[in-house]
Amino acid sequence: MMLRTLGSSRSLFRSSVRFASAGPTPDDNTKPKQSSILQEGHQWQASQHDSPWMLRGASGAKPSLPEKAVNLASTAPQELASAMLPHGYPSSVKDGYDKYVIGQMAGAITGSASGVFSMQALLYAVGLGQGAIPMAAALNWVIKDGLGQLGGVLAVHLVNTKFDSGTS
Amino acid sequence: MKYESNEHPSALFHFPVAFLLDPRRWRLISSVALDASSFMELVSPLAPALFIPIAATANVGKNVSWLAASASRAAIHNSFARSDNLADVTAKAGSQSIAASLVGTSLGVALSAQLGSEWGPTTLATFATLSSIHLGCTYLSLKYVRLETLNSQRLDLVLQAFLTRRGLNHTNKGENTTSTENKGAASTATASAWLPSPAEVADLESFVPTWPLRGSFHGPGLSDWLLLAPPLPSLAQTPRELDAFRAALRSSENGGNDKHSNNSSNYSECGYVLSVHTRQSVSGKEEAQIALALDVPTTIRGNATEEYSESVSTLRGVLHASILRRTLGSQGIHISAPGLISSTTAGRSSLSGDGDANQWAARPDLVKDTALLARIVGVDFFAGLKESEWKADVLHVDNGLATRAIRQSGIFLE
Repeated sequence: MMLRTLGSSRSLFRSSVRFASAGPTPDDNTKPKQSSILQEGHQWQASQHDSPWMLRGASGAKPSLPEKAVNLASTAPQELASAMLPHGYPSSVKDGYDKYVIGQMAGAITGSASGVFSMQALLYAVGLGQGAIPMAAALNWVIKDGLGQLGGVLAVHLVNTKFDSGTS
Repeated sequence: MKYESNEHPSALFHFPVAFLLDPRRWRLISSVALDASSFMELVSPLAPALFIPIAATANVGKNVSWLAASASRAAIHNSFARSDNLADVTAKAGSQSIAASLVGTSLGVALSAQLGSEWGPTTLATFATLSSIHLGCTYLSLKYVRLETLNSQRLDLVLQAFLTRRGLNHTNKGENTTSTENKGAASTATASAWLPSPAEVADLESFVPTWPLRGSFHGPGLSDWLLLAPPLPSLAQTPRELDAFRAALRSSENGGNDKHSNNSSNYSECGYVLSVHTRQSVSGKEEAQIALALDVPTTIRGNATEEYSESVSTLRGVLHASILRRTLGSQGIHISAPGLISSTTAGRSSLSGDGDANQWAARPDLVKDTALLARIVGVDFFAGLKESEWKADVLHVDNGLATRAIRQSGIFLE
C-alpha cells in the first residue's frame, strides 16, 4: 500500500517534470529503470528551482516589460473568453447561442446605462440635484458596486477552473 | 392564475410553470417592466412630493422584472445547454451580465457626465434612446432561442405543421412515398420529417406582449380554439362526483343511444375525453366548440404509466382535437373561440335534440368518426416525436383559466 502511493506520487512528479522541462520527451523505455528514476529525482529538484522561470517564459530569461504586455495581451482574450463563455464553447452549446449572448449583453449594457439616468433622476427628485450631483460621489457608488461584482466574477472563474481540473 | 390550491395538484407550481414554458415572452415582459420602472424613476422629479409612492412602485416593478428574468432565464439556458453543462452556461451568463452591467454603468456615468447632471429633456431623450436599444436587443436575442419543450402555442404549431405535411389520410405512408419502399423504415423516416424542428417553430412562435395585457401573458395557442379542461379526477371533488362525470360522459359519447353501448368507444382507451358541440350561428353558418379533458381510466391508472402518462394522454387528445378541427374546417364548420356553454343551455339542447338549431348540441358522432384516424395519425406522430429533438415528456398545455369556470358551468354534465 505504502509502496503504491510512493509509486503514484513518483509518477506524478515525473509527469510534472516532463511538463516543466518542456524539452524533447524522455524515452523511458530505452533507459535503465533505476537510473531514470534517479535522473528524474534530480530533474525534479532542478525543475523546482526552474519553475518560476518556466512560468515567465520559455526562453528562461527574465522577460522585459513589453514582452510581459504582449504575453498578457495574447492570453487576455482567452482568459476573458474562458470567464465569459461555457467550457468548450462552440461545441458545448446549441446554435444561436452567440447571437443570443451578444443581444443580451448589448441589452444589459444599455439597460444599466439607462439605469444610471433613472438613479440620477431619483437623487434629483429627493433633493440632491440642486446645482450639480457630486460626480465623485456617483463614481464612488459605481466603483463600490463594480468592485464587488468584479470580485464575484473572479471568484466564479477560479472556482470553475478548479472544478474543471478536478473532474477531468 | 385563478387556481386555488385545492383545485388542481399543479396549482402551486402554476406561476413558475408559466415562466418555464413561455420564457421568451416572460423575458421580454421582464425587460418591459424594467424600462417602465426606470421611466417612472426618471420622471419622478416632475412630482417630487410623490417621491415615496413613485420610487416604491418603481422598485416593485424592478423586483418583478428581476424575478421574471431570472426565472425565465433558467429555461432559456436549458435550451442552449448541449450536454450536462447547464450549470456552466448559467454561471457564465452571470459573468456576462455582471460584465455588461459594469460596462453599462460606466457608459451611463460617462454619458451623464458629458450631458451635464442637470435633469431635463436631454436626459429624457438619452433615456428613451438607451431603453429602446435595450428592448430591441433583448427582442433580437430572444429570436435565437429555440425551445425544445412544448407549451400550448408550440404544441399547436407543431401539430398544425405535422398535419399539413402528413395529410389526413388513413394510410400511414406519406403521399409522396412509393409503395415499394420498406414500410416500417419509410414510415419512421417520414414521420420525423413531418414534424417541424424546434428552430422552425421558434421562427413561427409569437412572444411579443401586446395590449391588452391579459392576452400577452399567455399568447396564442391551443386555448384559442380548444377548451382545455383539467383532468377529470381533479375536477371532481369527491369520488362520487367523478363517477357522475364519467357516467354523463359515457352516455353523451354514445349519443344517449343504447345501440352503441357495447362499443366502449375511445373513452376507456385513450386517457382523454373530447366533447364537441355544434350550433347554427346567428349568421346562419354552422359553428362548433371542442373541449378536451384528461381522464385515465381507473383500470389503467397505476400500471402502464408510460403509455397513459399525463403528457402522452394530452398529446393524444390534442392531436385528436386538431384532426377534428381540420375535418370540421374542411366541412365549412367554423370553430368558435372556446366560451362556456352554460349547463342550462347544454342541458336543454341535449334534451330537445335537434329541435332548436340555435342551441348548442352535443355531437359525439363527430368524435367517434375521427377516432380511428386519430389513432392512425397518432402512430406516425409519436414515432416522429421519438426521433425528433422535442422534449415532450414534460408537457403543460393547460393555461389554468378554465378550471373554475368549467366547474361552475358544468359543461360536462349535459
